[in-house]
Amino acid sequence: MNASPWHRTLLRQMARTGLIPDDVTDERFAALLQRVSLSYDDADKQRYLHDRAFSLASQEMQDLYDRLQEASQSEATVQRDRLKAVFDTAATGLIVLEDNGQIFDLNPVAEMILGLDHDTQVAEPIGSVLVTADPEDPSTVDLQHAIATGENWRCSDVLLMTRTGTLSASLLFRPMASGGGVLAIEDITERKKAQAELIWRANHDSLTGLQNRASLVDQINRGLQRARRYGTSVAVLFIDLDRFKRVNDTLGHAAGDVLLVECARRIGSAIREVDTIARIGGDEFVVLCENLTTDSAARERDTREIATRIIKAVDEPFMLDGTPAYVEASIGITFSQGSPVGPDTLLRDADIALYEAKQSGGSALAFYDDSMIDRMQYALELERQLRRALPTDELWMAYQPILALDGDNVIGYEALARWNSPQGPIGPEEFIATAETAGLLNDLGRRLIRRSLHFLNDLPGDLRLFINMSPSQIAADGIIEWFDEALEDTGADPRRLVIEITETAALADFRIGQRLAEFQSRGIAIALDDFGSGHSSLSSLRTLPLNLIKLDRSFLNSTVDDPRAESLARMLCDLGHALGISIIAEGIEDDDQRRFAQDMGCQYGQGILLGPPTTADQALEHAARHV
Amino acid sequence: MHTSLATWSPHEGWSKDLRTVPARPGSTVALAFSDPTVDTSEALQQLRAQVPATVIGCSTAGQILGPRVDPAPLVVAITAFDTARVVGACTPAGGRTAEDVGAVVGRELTSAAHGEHIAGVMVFAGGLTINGSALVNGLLRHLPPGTPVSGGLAADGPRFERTWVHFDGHTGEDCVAAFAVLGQAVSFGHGSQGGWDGFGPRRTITASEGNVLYELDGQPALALYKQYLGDRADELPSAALLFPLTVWSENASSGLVRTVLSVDEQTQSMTFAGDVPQGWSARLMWTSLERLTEGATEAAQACHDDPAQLAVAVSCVGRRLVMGARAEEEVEAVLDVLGRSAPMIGFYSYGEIAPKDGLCSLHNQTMTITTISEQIPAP
Repeated sequence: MNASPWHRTLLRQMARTGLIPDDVTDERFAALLQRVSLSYDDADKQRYLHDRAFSLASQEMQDLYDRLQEASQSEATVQRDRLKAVFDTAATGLIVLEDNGQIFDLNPVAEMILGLDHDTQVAEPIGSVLVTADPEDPSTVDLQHAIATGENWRCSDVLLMTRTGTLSASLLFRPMASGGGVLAIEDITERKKAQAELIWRANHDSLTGLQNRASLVDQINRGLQRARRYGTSVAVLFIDLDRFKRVNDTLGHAAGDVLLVECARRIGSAIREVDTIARIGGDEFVVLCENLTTDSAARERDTREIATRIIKAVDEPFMLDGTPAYVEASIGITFSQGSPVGPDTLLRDADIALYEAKQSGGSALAFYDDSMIDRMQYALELERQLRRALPTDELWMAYQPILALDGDNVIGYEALARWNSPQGPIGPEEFIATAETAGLLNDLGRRLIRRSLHFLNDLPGDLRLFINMSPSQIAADGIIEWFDEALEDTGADPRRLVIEITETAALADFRIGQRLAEFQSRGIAIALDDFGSGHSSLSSLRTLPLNLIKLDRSFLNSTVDDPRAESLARMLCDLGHALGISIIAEGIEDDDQRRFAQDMGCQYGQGILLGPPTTADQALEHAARHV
Repeated sequence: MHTSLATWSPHEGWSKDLRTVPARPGSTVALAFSDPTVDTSEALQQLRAQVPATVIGCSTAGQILGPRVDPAPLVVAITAFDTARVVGACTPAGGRTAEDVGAVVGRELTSAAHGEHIAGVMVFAGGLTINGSALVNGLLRHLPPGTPVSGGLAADGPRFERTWVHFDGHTGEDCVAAFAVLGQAVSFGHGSQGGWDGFGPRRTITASEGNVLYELDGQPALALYKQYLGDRADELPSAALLFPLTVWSENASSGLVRTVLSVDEQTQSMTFAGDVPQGWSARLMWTSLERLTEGATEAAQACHDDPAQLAVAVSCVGRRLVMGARAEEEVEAVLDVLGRSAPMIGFYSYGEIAPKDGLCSLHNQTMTITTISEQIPAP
């Protein structure tokens, strides 16, 4: 503002025109100049304010802009850091590509998958680091095309060559609007292995590595096709291991598994190269024999040879943690016939033949024929009848006396199971075998033993009762406890009880010996039944805790005109005497046989001549007469 | 309808003999606007005594008469209607809210009209304490729907210390006075235009209460104004008129202009002539002489009343401060549109009231024109 009442611009203009304020004496002129001066002042004030305001506003806008930019830069930094973190920690390999296909950036997973070094690869063309194992594979060319045209592209499986080897990869390219794009790369090598493993598992038995049922069915179908094409025949061998369950029960499942693996190996080494082996159940194996002649006699001979090799291989003891274990192979065999058959039919027929083979004891083989179906149906009917009869009186015990041969004194009675079925009497061998196959033997045996113990209580004096038990009954879980309970319930005296046990290969199982010793510790005597038949093993005499031996009836039948058999019988009796074991001769039917038995040194005898099996009442009457 | 213009000054007295002026009792209104620094009470008494009219007016920041600004300390326009009637009302605020006071006046006018058609209402109110927005709302509440209301808030030059309202020979500080013209033959025209432009950043009203503004963007509003005014901060509050504030809600298509009435150093607050709601956006405004003149022209053009038998120009004190000695340029611009012979009276105010876009409301920093004309019915 001016000290002078008039604006300095006005004063300057007045001076230039030669006018000084003192010259202005006219009032109206002075008023005019005053107004002009005020207008100048107003304009100055306005300009000052305008300039200041717009300078401040500009500064404010600049500050605002700076703050916004700072915020947006900081936001951009945060965003970039986030993206970088995602990029660096992504489980998938990521390669950011320029629009010319050069690598702009790649994350650690991509470096790892491709065996690359980050710094040396940036700016390299993607084609130089992504090399297909197959030079003919068009994948990398397709990728280059997708980058150039900005299109989505995917390749779900490509074999790549890297510095460290080859790998299976899945590739996915996504273009970016701003050019170039991102290539996602995933190493699917392990996934493919896992898939292959899954497929293998679907077709193989995990324990033995053999083919499983599904795979076997395919194999049989292919075998049948080949047989038709080449005019050959195939055989299906259904193999079941006898007494495998006992190995599992006694030595544990781990040992059982070891046995199965070894068994698979043995069977595999017993068959020919063209044959296939599969495991289709716990202890069930199937061998498919191909390229057999269609001549029935020749193919049966060839197949029998193979089956026999298998049986022998399985018969050898299995050493499980230093303990020998014994199983036997039963084999059912069937052939592809002239008429078209499928895998199911062949497996069913072989299974039927297997049943037949098992009926004839362990280590046996049987060829399928149509009559087996009838027999099997009969066996199934028998089983059904037996289940029904179990709680009834149709099953009963007969008792046959055992006498001292030096007089006529009865020393006891052997309890023998009998079945009067509605269709007529059924022999013990038949129904006991059926019970064993059907898993009913334990139940049946325990029911009959309980009845016999009541009979024992009725027997006068110190007469003994001989009862029969199979190795499987003795090996059954809880048999000792059950026996103790049965003895207590019935009040029977264990010292008057004799358990007869048939000599079979199963007796080699050391646990049987332990069980027998436990029975013996309760005062129960142990007798080895049918000694000298079948699986005669002198080692049984040493290892088993025996009190009595029952000499098999075959000796009395054959020794009369067979000097060698007689010598053998005498030797066995001498052996028994030497070991302090009493001997009972079985099957004495006439006086010659009785004399012969006495002559050999048998202290006791049993047979039709000495007394047939009778009902319990008759036996008690008999006992009363002979005590 | 006949309008006579007159002036009064202490030295020269009345410019004409009031007793010769045409006037009919009940049909005449005398608008009187005075310089608050000059005692005009005796002149106003004379006016009341010599003219049978409803005398109404207020103190100003500059009196307008014809093309002149401040031709005399008191300017008067005496309008006698041929057929229309004039009714007036006046009430002191008396501690009531502006809206309640407006309602009282509105009710009185409606009552006095006895059901006759109200062609238009003009209102004048104390300019320092009365919230103009609320006053208009109260008035409209009791007037027949569609009644146009215009007028302005009394002023005290650039001082913002005391304002006066005149009514029928009385003068009061904190009053509201209004008159209504009754009759179908009379028509009112209105125009209101600013000529201000926003500048600088958009700000947010972060603390306010009614028409009291405390903070913009979390900073004291007064400090911001002082920063912008620089040396001229000493001239507060009038200097704040150089930077009126435009305020708008989030969804509004255009903003309202607010003029500062007073400042409070203690609370760092500023009181405006209208509400400044918290949460609304705000921006400083600026203008130039040319833009203000353009605004005045546009305001006159919006009146659509040709020829005007009375024109009342109410312009904002802020415009006067910007234009300084050249304030008459906007008055001339108005007469250029209405016709140089149009009888025009007016004043520089602390707030203008007029309908705009169909709504009567308080304006700030505008030139507001009300034109009144009466058609003489055919005999």
